[in-house]
Amino acid sequence: MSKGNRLIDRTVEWSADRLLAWRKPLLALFILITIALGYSATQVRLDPGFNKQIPVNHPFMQNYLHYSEIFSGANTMMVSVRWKGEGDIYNVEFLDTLRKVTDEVFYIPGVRRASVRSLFTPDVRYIEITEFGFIGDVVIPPHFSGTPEDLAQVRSNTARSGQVGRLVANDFSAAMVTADLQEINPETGEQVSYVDIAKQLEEIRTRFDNENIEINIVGFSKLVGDVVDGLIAVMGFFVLAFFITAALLWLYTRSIKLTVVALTVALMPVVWLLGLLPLLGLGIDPMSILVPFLIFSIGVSHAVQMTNAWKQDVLAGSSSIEAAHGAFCKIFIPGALALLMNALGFGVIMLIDIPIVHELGVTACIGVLLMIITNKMMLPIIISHMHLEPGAGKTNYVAPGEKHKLWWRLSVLATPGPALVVFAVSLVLLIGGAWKSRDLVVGDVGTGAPELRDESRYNYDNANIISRYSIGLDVLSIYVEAQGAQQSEACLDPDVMRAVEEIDFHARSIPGVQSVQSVAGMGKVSISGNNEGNPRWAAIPGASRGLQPGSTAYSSSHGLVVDGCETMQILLFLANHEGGTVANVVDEVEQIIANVDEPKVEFKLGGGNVGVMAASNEAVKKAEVQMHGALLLSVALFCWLTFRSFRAVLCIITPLAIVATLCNAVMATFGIGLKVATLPVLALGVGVGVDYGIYLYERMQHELAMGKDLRTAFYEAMCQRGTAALFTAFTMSIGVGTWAFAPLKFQADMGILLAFMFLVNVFGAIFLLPGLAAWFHRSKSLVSVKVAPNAPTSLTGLEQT
Amino acid sequence: MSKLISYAFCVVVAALVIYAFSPRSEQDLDTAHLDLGRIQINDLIRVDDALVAVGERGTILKSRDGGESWNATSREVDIPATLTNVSRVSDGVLLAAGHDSLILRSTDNGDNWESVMHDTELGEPLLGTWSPDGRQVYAYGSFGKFFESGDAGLTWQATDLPIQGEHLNDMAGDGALRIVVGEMGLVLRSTDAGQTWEPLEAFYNGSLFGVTSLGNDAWIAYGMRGNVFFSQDEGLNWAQIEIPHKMPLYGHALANDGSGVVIVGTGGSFVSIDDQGNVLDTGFLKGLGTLTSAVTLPDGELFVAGQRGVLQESQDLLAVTGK
Repeated sequence: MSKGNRLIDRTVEWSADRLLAWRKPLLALFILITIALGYSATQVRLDPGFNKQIPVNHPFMQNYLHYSEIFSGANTMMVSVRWKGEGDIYNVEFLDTLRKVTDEVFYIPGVRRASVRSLFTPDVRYIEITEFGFIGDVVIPPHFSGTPEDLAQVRSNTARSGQVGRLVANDFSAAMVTADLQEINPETGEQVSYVDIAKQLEEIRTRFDNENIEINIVGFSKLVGDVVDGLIAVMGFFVLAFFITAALLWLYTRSIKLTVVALTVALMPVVWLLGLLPLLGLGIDPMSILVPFLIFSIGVSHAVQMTNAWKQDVLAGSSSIEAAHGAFCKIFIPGALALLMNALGFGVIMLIDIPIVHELGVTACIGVLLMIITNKMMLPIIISHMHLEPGAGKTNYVAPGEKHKLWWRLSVLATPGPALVVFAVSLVLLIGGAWKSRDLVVGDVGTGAPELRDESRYNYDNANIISRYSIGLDVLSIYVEAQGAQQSEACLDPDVMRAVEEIDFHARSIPGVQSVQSVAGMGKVSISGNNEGNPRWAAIPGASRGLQPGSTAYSSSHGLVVDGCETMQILLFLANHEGGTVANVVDEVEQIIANVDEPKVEFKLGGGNVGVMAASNEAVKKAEVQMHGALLLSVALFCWLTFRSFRAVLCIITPLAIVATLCNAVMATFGIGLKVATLPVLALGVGVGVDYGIYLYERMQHELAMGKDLRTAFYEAMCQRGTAALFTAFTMSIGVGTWAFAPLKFQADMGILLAFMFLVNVFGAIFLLPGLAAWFHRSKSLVSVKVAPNAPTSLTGLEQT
Repeated sequence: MSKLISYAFCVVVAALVIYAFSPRSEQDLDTAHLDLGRIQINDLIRVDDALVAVGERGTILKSRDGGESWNATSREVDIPATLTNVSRVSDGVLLAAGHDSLILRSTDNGDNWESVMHDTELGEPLLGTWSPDGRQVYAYGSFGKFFESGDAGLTWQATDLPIQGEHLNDMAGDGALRIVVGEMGLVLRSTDAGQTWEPLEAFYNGSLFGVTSLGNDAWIAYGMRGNVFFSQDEGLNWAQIEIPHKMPLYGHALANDGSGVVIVGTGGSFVSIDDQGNVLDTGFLKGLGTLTSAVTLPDGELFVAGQRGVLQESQDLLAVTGK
């Protein structure tokens, strides 16, 4: 080994001496910090912000942030009352319910009252063109008493109100109440709580749901409410994972003490992290709530490695303090390296240019770095005070001279022949994986709110509303600036209006677009209305004079134009927000815009939730290759710095690369899209997965340096580190695997992926790594044999599994 | 050799991984695609075995298979003015009229079109053309616009009518009799092949959107709020036909054997009337929105078009004949 490495070994040993010499004051200090941060952790707050999910530097989003201040009404909620009984909605029971629901929504605090719309609100009127001109009145006659004549009146008024597809379902099976939310409640002056609003909406549902009536509710506030409910359920999974881990730990160590110590030490960075967050001004959002979970899992993994090394020394006859010293010396380098890799993995996540992901990266990075203190410094101090209970460790004990059967059999993979078989299997898997991974979709897969599962109530409601109405909550806004208009009002300039009409006309035909709202479309309806209601007049005329009859459409009250039409927006309602749909619609819209040859107007993408998704999908797409590249390169660099061997780097990197590819294939197979919630998981998976390789290779290197052959070296590494690695992989997989049942879809996706990454990475490390090492070793020894072994690395007498 | 195997393995892995992470192909964009169910169609005619539909932003569509599939047609200049009407002048010659007083002419049954009239100053629409004999053609429209052509629609001269600028919505004729209907119950009648015109005493004060001859001196006119009128004396005297709904009616199709007419309108409403003025059937074609026009296919099936374009959600439409 090089001089440098010996210097590191000496430094580590010196550190171990100091650590144990000052173990009492240090322990007191750590406990004080824990108490202080534990107190601070009680201040941590839930922080689900919509704007945090926006990739702020994307050009779409700069437009969005600029124009979303101009056009309000983004925070809309829809309460659809659906008639499940015989016939359509024109019956007394239904209309009575709709009226009550309208009243209920009207009185929810925080709802902008003027924005409440339904068939029962006075601003929803029908216009009928009669022999005597316009007749306009409210849809439900004031004297409505439910007679068949009244019902027929309502039916024909509704048909003439232009609300079919909007406030009334296309097939007359439902009608809705829409309302906008205010950010600040004007009565109390306080920020409106989405959770409270969601609760009140849920009360409306409970009150009116019956065998004939179903209430469907969608809207950002309801979504936040449901997500928060889901988050609370996730806490339950944390508890579940904790107990599963505890049980497995006990089965593995057969020692209550070790189990408690490992769990305590693993919880420590979680407490410290949660304590630091309020101090740093950060909160927990639906995405980073998983970080403490993950930190705990990683903490258990490292604690097991350390206590395992300590136990081996204790069983070999060392005192607790000596064993703690030895364990520190053996574990600190690979452990700290692995934690640095984890931190790196979390760090590269920040390449995704979205604030919520940055926060996730920062939170996770801090958590992992804290673990270097808690796991690598605090743990040795704790175990140096501890005595192993007599019963512990006797199970699975392998006496000196005997071989652990399973590991010895497994170690045959470290010989060239069987290694070839592993190579072949790996290649087959990789080819299949690479082929399947081409189907991976960037963005969401499936319909409904991506945060929630397809079968969740919210998405059921959403699907119900989308299938019955022509509008929904998946909206792409195209902003229009008409600066060069000749007329006093841009809406009276036929060139401007025809350009807007052109977008409207072509965008309507894009697959995935349900309907389009633009000032041109509204104008046509008004012009036709002013000309006997004749649909043949529904057109944008080529002269300003012809546009004047449409003036009622150019009012800013429709939310489509401001400032005399200098700024407009065109709304595209999409059938869903799947990654493919969003990308396709945005591409086509860009092409349509490029084909508009009109210098007076400028079209800018793209707002609405679909604009946000398009931007974040692009950010994710851009970050994907960058992130994997940066991750693999930096892992390679760190490994090379540690092991000073290019072949060692290949031994560790190759399995990682294969697993990353397989993970993409798994996502494609399970219908998990590559998006803001899942891309970080891939980085975490690689960051955590590299642990196993590093722990194993580091041990093998020591064994080889002592002159052992490769198979024996691998066998020893498996006995000392492999069991623990395998155990932690299973424990962590089960822990995160429980998320698969979480009510929040992205957490379930994250859980499935992480479980897969943890498990398959450990297989890569124990199957493929030895094979690669075998073939590299065969041509030229991986490590030069060192005759004089130094103390901490020579404890080879006892292996215990 | 052993060196080679391990390095080769790593290289193959690297190649496959790079392949897996290389940019994934995008779906091919079908940019020329127009959703025919989302273009407003304002008029539809049958020319021999073909259907020709015109509408929003100058859309002209042609179908040779009874409306199963449609092709966009070409024209020399793309004017984005909405077309309101298409009519047959003579064999092969079609005229399409629209907003900005646009008239397009085709000499090949609607495959290619050229502009013969266009006025961007006023921005007011023509609402139709009609030809009695294949040479003489009338064009009519908003604010009493009325043009005549003696050369099958190539050149046009404005004609004054004895009216006060009412919109002229539809025109039909039978022999030397011609009738124009329009705004505020306007009915103009000429019994001398258009030499002189005489407005009838208004029998209705709303707008009439359509008029047609049913043969044997029987005429029918329709308009706002479910108003349908029937005349048995060449359009001199009209009587209202009571129908059960109050939907405005915008277009009609004659039965192939001349035994009746189907009139369509708002909300997919239809009313089927025989040549004696008896209502045979009324109802709503679901999911088709407001209908502007209809034709009878050779097999007697009705084909409709309107706000939801030319996509028929249900082929199970009523047969016009035999009712």
